[in-house]
Amino acid sequence: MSSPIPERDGARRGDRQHLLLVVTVLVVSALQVAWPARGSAAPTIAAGGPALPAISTGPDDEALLVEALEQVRRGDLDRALRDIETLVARNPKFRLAQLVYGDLLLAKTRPIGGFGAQLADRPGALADLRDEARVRWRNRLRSLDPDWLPAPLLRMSASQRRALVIDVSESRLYVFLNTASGPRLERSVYVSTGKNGAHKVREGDQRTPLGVYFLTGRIAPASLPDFYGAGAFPVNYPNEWDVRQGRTGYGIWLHGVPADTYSRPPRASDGCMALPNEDMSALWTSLDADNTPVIIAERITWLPRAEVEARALALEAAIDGWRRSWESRADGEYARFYASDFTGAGLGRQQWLEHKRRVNAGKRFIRVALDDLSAFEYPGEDGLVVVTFEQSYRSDNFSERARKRMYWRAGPRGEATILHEDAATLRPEHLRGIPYSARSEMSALSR
Amino acid sequence: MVRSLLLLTSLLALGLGLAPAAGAADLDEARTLARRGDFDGALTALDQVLAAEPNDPQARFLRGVVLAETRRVDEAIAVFTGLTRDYPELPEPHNNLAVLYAAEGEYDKARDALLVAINTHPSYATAHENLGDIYAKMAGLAYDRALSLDTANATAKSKLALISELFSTRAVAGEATMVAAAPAASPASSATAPPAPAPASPAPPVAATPTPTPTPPPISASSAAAAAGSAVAVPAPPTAALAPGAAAEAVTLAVRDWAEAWSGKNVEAYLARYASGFRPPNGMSREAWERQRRQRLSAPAFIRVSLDDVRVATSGDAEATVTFVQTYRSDTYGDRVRKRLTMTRERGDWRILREQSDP
Repeated sequence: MSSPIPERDGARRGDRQHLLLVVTVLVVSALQVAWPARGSAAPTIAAGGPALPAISTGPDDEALLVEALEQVRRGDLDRALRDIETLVARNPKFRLAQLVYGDLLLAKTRPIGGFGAQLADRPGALADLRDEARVRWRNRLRSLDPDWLPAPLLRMSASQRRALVIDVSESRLYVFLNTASGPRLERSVYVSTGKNGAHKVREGDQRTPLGVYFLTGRIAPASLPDFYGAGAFPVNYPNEWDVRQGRTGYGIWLHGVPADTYSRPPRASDGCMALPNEDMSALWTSLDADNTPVIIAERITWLPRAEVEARALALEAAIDGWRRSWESRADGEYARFYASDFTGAGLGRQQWLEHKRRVNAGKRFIRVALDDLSAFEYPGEDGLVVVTFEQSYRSDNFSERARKRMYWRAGPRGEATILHEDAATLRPEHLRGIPYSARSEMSALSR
Repeated sequence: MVRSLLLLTSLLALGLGLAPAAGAADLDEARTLARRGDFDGALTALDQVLAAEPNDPQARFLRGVVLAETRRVDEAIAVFTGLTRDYPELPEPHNNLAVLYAAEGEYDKARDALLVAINTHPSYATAHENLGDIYAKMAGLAYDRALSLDTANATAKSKLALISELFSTRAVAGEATMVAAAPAASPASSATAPPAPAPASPAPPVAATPTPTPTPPPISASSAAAAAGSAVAVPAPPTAALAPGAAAEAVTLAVRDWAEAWSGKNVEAYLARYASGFRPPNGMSREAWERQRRQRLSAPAFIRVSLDDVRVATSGDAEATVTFVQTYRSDTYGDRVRKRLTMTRERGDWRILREQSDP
């Protein structure tokens, strides 16, 4: 006992530098990725009395974790240990925090071989936790300027209270609140996605789809196994574009995590988006399961708000041109908007136009009004925009009100054509895997 | 003995004028009884001392140790807590409280107690060592939680066995304590290795590779006890406990090989020490057990196994029982257990047929 053991003494001298090194590596790797961090002000949510409750925010465990890592970087290991101890005491299931806690404790006794080096015999688990550390750390480095928006978020409709935008590469889900002055970032949440990455194509490929989706309903935790945690919101994969591309699979949900953990690794699911249960619970009461877009991007492009607005206005002008051409019953004008590879209502371009010609022939007038329009750029598909609206059609012998969905392709010079047009409905695939008890709430797209 | 939580068995009077009171002779007698393992007798003697001198710190301290030894943990904690209240400046009661808390798995409390001990005596080596162990144990738990391993039952609770170890009679000094010294597989062990095919692993044995971690020089029991100073105030009486005859010696060597292979993380040599008829614990299959052992030997950065109080009982030429106190230390885990190996002669060498840990 009086004879000193080499490791221990080495530890007392070396641990500080060592941990410093480790976290520095983490920071550097975080910085290697270009990130559009600008400004610093947190977005303020405009008070406008939304019908849905604000998302309740609990203690920010991620912030405390990153704060502890920051203390390590500064060399204040004792403070880091105190922070992380507070964190694991209130959130013992936060595995990444436990790992950092273990490292900090062990660093008091001996040099440690690196971030989580003690788990070297579990390389898979360690890599997962390291990835989680990286994305969480990187997220904190970012301060999102309220004057920048995700490029896909062209236009939220008046009835949409919130939109979800997911950045798969950053394991991040952004909740945007629709305010009088446009979408405002309300909350950002860590999210796990598919084991094999993004861009789902085939059933069983364990990838998360990329595109513009909508929640189709909600499934209460009581009707689900523990695996799904605090509940689930299915989305409408495969959407119209997926079907057109021949993509298969079903059952892509936004859901919670099992009770034995706080979060899952960044890439862990079979294609679903898994959130910490606390975040899922917070979203549970705040999301309108009937009317919430979910935009999933491999990597979000952020643009100045003004530029997004300019794009939206250009598109809306094109849409209005189409609407007026329909009202005018001028066949050539109307046909000009339809792309050669157009599909709609099971028809190709020629059949569609012939049908319209036939219907229009006996009319003396047509009035079309579009309400509650939303438009979202399709991530990963250049110029493709998903447009949804309430269409009020009136003519001398028929009138109809329906929810319509169109896929527009905007060209480089502002010209825009229609690739797809149909009623916005649920497809049979959207019900697969959903418990019968929850199907009555699957109303979203068919109303 | 090496680095595990150290329970102090006597209080240094540290210049506080804690002159032993009238019952000094009784106190010595109690100490002797405790050392012999007669804890009831020791308690009776201590009660007499305390009846005359209720506040005698030495007697109260020893009483706490004996209570801890007899697993009356709550009472022992009460005794040491009382001492920390009456003598806050003494580090030993804090230290022993920490050891008891640690044994209960209450590492936070253990750490706090040790921090108080260090605060009062910054150069107090035992508390520093124990604190390091507590941190390592807490780290181990945190890592388990990071991996979501079930820590509910298999918590790295330090065993109170260490206390009995302090009182137990030792085997012949120098023979008993084996701090594994690298390099691992000695020529002797490879010479005795069977020609039979090695357990199915295409990887070549890493026997000759010295372990990269620095290893302390072997500490013999006597020097350890001498060096213990404040840590262990009970001198180890040199009682020969080895069974007579060459068989006992061969068995001891085999056990030492086993511990050294383990410490050297030498998986093949370690597994070769198990007899073909070895039954893994908990009904595990041999294959599953070997896989688990491989993993557990290769995972830690270092492993140190030392054996104290090794006793051998042979029954005939082909079977022997070895008992000892095993101290296991690695970078992530440490414990001390009393172990019993049933050894059998197989292919000309002694191998392990059963391996049991006493709670």
